[in-house]
Amino acid sequence: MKFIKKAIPAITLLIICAVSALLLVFVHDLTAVDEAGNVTPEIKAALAGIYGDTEEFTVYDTPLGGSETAYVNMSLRGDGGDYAFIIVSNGYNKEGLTLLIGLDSAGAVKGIVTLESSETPGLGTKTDSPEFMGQFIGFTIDEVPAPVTPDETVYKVRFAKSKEELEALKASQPEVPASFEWDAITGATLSSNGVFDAVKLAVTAYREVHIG
Amino acid sequence: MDKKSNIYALLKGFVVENPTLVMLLGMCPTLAVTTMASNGIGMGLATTFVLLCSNIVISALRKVIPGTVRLPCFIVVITTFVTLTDFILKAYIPALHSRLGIFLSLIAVNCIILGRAEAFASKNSLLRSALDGLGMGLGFTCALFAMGAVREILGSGQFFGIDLHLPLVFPIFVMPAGGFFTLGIIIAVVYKFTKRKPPAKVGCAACPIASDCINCKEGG
Repeated sequence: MKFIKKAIPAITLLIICAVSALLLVFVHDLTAVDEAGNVTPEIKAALAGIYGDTEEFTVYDTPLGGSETAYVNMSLRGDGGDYAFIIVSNGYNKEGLTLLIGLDSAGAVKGIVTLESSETPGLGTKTDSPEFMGQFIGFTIDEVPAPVTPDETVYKVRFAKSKEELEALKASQPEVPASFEWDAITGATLSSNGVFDAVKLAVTAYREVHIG
Repeated sequence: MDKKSNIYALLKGFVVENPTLVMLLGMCPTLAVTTMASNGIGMGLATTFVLLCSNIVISALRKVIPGTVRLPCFIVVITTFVTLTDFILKAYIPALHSRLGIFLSLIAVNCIILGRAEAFASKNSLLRSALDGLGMGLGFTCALFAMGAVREILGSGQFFGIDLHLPLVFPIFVMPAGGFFTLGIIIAVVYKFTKRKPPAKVGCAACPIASDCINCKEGG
């Protein structure tokens, strides 16, 4: 009897834990939505905003690739031959910006849409304005500087098949070219840089997948 | 008002024993997520849901749970509801889920919830515990909304994301320093209107939960 009395607290705790675990398993199965690799309505609307309603986009491949500060989360290809990339970039917060960057048939930036931003409201979120984003329209790979040594390639963005490989491949990305001038948002330098990093990654990734 | 009545159990959380503004519990989410009024309400309601459910379950189990393991049991119940809230928000309100971020999971260690479980739900009937949880949660929501509204209007010139076209905004208000500043002013205003005086001597008599606290009755 003494033993049972001593065991009661442990058994009670065990029962409560078991019931909790069962409940959580049930609710998790009920609510889990796997959206990885799917073109969600939100992405569709953003694409329509850049390209109009006529072009239909599909995920043609989902290579993981990126630089130190940004990575490609999804690559999309339109039936008209245009490419768009969803890029997660570090702003003030790590992975604070999720941007959809659409490129035209020449590989220049056609439009940028902020899909998700966890930047500071009123400061970092100001990057989502036509004035700021408009600066990058027309930005191309030509504006990313040429390699310094023959061994070093311009296209430092590489694509990986697994997360482990991606970590190994996160090399440094091209420096800001002297020829391209843009203005950061006052008080939101890191968020502004995050957008520019994403833009540079998009045009480099285009070169990688389109020209090879 | 009679302190033993059910109405008092519900209403005391709004002003007299407001968890944030009077008891100064749950400061971490109060300062961190209140950069926008809508975030404040979202966080407040998520906490209210957890507080209500955990108070009900803990009150229902209060005679079953042995005293020696009561704290682990409370924590398991609370974290279960926090995880449930996390799943549900992720599935149905992903925008709010991503804005609240890590603070949603941190509801688990919000001392308001464990505080109410230990001080109230483990000693009172199911109905009173539910009313207490609801009142405390809504009081917390009101406090977060007030914080979020002030910071969003002064710091971003917006209210619920709508631009107010103010001639001057002070971005310091959306930053952490502005959070402390706003909280201090709001606490001062609440003290003024409830005609409370700061305790001259720190002791059990000055504590807002003196009526519920077991240590106080024991003379501790």
